[in-house]
Amino acid sequence: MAEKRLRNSLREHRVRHGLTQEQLATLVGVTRKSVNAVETGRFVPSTVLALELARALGVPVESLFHLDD
Amino acid sequence: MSDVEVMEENRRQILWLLVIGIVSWQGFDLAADSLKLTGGLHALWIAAKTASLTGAITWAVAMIRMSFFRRRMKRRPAVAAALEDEVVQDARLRALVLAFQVTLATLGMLLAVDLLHPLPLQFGVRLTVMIGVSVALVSFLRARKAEENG
Repeated sequence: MAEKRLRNSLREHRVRHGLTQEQLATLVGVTRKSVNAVETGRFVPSTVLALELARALGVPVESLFHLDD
Repeated sequence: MSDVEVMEENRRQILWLLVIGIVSWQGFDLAADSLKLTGGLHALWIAAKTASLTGAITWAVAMIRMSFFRRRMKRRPAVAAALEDEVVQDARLRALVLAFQVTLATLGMLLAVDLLHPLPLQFGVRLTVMIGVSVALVSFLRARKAEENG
């Protein structure tokens, strides 16, 4: 099975909500660098963190993260 | 700057102090011991021992700062949780795995050298500990730096 890559639109949603990385990090309870690591795809978040990010931005998790086909 | 950012910067400084401390403490002390064994210049030996002492003091200062840091973290559980988020834990785990591999490689090299030229046990142990600890710390710090700007 070919390896699939997890893409995300975290940055777009965050900017749409007028939040900085630091503000989103505070809402979710992580560091700013960690939000940056997820946004840039350096780190694939756990289900819990993905759900927390989605909840903080008020969007369904599947609109934040999707698999690259 | 949020509390989490301030504390993360604090942690970064403490970890760098630990790296500088252990490398100069143990590195210069090993150099001084080697100079003694090979009959090197006494002035160089004194310089190496002084640098080693400075490194030991740096290490001790960093450890004291770390204990104050931990005490502050206990009083602020939300900040402590953010500083130990899953990205940080992942970076730490990767750093420890790399340090373990480098430690094994160092031990392998020391054992190979020991076959040709017997080395004092203390030399090998101290060199291995110094390399293992500094690789773990530097690897963690580099991972966090890479996560800073993407």
